[in-house]
Amino acid sequence: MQAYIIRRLLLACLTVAMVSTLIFAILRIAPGDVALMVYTQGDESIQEIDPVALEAIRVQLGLDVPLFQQYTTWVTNMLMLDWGESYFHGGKVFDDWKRKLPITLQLAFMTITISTIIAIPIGIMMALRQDTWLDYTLRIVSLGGISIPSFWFATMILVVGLYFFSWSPRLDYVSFGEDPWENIKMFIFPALTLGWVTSATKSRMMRSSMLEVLRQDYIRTAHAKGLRYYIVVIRHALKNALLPVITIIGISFALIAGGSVIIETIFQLPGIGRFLVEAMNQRDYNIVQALVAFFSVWIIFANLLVDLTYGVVDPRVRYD
Amino acid sequence: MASEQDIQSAAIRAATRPSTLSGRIYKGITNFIKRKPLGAVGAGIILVMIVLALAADIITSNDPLKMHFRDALQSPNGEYWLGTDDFGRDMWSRIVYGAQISLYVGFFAIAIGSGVGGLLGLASAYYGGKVDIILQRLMDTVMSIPTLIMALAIMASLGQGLNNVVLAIGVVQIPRANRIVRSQALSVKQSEFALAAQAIGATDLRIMLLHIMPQCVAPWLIIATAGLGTAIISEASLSFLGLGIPAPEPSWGGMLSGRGRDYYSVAPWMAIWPGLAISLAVYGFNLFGDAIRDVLDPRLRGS
Repeated sequence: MQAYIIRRLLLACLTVAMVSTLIFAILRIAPGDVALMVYTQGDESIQEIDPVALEAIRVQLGLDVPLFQQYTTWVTNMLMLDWGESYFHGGKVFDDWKRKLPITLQLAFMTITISTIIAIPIGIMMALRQDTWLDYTLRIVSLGGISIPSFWFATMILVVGLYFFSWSPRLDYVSFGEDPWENIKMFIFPALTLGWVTSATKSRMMRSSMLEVLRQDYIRTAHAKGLRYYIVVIRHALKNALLPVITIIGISFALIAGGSVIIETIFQLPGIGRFLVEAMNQRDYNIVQALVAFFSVWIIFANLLVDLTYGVVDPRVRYD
Repeated sequence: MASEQDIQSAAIRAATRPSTLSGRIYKGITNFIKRKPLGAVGAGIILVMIVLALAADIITSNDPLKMHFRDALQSPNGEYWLGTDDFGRDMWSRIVYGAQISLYVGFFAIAIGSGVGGLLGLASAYYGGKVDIILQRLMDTVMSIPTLIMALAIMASLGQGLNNVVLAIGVVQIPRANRIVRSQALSVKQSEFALAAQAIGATDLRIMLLHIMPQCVAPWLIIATAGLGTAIISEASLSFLGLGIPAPEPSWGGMLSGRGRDYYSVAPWMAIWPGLAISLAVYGFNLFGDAIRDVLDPRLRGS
């Protein structure tokens, strides 16, 4: 077990290293001169360019050294928690990140809770009533969850709120410590939107996994020895059917990372997702680079955690 | 041993089988509709979308980019079927021309993603060893970056534009196709006909393309159709976030972002139509994709 954990950890670190290289490479294929962009501050009317000042900016941004050296400097700095400064407003990226992290984490936590609460009962119902009208209806609805883009769903919540109830989300952020009720009110619609969108995959997974378990011999045995129907379903079937769903909960971390980008932008939550979109629109590559790396590390370790949990809850998983 | 009855029913089936090609196609289509009604609905939605996109010039009377400032923010009426936006542009024209963009991005992104991914999977399975290890590590790497964020990063780097969107979404799709084709090709590689081809001295390329690839088409097709819906949603998301198709172009995602959002309380149709169009299109592709999967690979049913 220990050797297995260590090996998985090393593998995760290797993936992190490769991801960092890939991210660095993607952002270096950018056409145009970043130093020039910082120099003009996005103002395209500037025609006269002072080559000395431009060169100074290049040195300041560390763009004057060879690519490989730029890469190693970046990786070391990332590890030392020195994530550089914003190209445009000069703020420390790491400080901003630290301030915004709790918001995205709260959103992720609430989303996962909501989507799991929605998905598991629905998945079980679909499996128990396979091929009935209930199964079909729920399947059509859950396929809708995959098909409707989260940003439209969120937009419609805002439109309905505004049109019928003159309600709109507040623009200033309130932390849970300051005012728990206001804070929950801010997060509930974003979390519901993301939760519903991510629940679709989970309930479909729950359905097929439950169907498979229900066909097993030990379920028939349980029925045969006269146990009550719901005891069999809950104690015997559900316990085993939940295993693959753990994987899906892990994968939903990935969906949430992508979803937070959209949901935070729409609901004006000042989290990391919105931070990333703003930085991308301004082409603030220091921030983009650091945040994409952060999201990837988040997912790599979420997957690692899923694998390890799997090993703990399922004795059949062997550690080799 | 085939019983007499079996032979008889086979003979009847052979006799009733339509002999002409168009007859067989017709029969196939009606069979599909009967066996997979939901898939047929999906196919219908896709078909309508394709027809709208192709006939865009005929069925719209207004230029999707032309601004009729006097007619701004009109609710749906006889002149503007779906109303107008804050610049007085015809929403119906914009939706119809938006279908062109969505389909273009969807098909070409999947062609790149599934095409490259499939060929890499084929090579990975066939050569094995170092090639396999390196390629699969690379795929792991791409997969550990969340797809939307990866696509966004590529867009932030390349800049906005139709073909950049196709590229960004296509690249993100590569690993899935690669995985599926690789696992199929690994088992096909061991089959007798592939070994026989090797024994008579066929070249690697010939074995891969003529002997192994045809056996991998079914799972490849499943992944490709399933990816179409995802690709359309991705394009809409990128454009919505301001990093996809540049502004005046009538992209469905882009129509939901920007300054127009300030007018939703007086002109809610501006928010309704583009989103409805995206959802319907993606729903159609998902329904169709599910049906295709059931038909081609019954083992995956319901998963």
